[in-house]
Amino acid sequence: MTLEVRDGEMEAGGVRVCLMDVAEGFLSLRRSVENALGDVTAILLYNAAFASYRGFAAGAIARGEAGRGEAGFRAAVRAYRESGFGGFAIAEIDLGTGHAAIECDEPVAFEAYGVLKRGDGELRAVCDYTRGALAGLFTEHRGGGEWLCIETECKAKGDARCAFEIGDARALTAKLLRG
Amino acid sequence: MAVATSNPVDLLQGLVDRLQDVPGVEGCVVARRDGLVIAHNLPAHADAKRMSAMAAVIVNASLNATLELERGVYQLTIVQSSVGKIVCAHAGMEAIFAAIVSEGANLGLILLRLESIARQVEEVLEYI
Repeated sequence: MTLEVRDGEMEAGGVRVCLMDVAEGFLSLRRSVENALGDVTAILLYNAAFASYRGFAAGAIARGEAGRGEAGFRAAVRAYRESGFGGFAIAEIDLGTGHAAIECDEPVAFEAYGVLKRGDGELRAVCDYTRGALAGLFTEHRGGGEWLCIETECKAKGDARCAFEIGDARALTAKLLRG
Repeated sequence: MAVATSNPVDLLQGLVDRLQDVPGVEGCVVARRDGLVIAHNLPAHADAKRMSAMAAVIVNASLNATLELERGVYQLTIVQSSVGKIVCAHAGMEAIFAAIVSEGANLGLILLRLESIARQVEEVLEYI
């Protein structure tokens, strides 16, 4: 991915971007929202990333820069990794049945990194923006449907890696409810 | 209710669907306390994810205000608009629900039905 830097603006892959400190920028923003809204912050981040990355994928597909299907999803996850969000790798994928498993060990997923860097103790998984981004990309490359991404392991709460599962929204919601 | 062996989402969807029979209820959503959609029968123009997140914010803020101002035990929140109401409440410790109610509907009857549904939602989530 090419990065173009001009005075006062920066573009990566044709999209304007800016640099934000993960721990003191993104996570501080998250903490401020959490202070105001509580636990719902996780869903708000998820929904925002879902819409953003689904739209990003739809645009890339419409412009012919990306294809639908497994190859397109793999390329999208690779682009997410190359954008500095973490060392994400697809461990399993079956777009036909609607299932994917994605892992991130090193470099640590950016949200978990922020928590570890700040020394905030966390009891739950924190990579909610990433969950939304992966679900948005998966949904668009799968051609629609009701899919959910859950985080089954997270370095921020002491697990060895961050691990994500994407699948049927109803089945994964039931899994979450059962704990 | 065979809660332990059934998919809890299907059970809760069944409860939500029962509200369709109540005159004046245009749609309803049940969500986890953090805003994750569990089941809904919202009209096509309503986004279940956004509705669930907003309902969670409304319930959490209402709950906090009730505690902060020492107003006893939180029960529900009614948002009144020019074309109807949105009724939000919690269903036990784990879930919340929100119903879109049309103007002129029998609110007393609807609240009774919602209260009953909330108890059943709580029961399902308690025994899964």
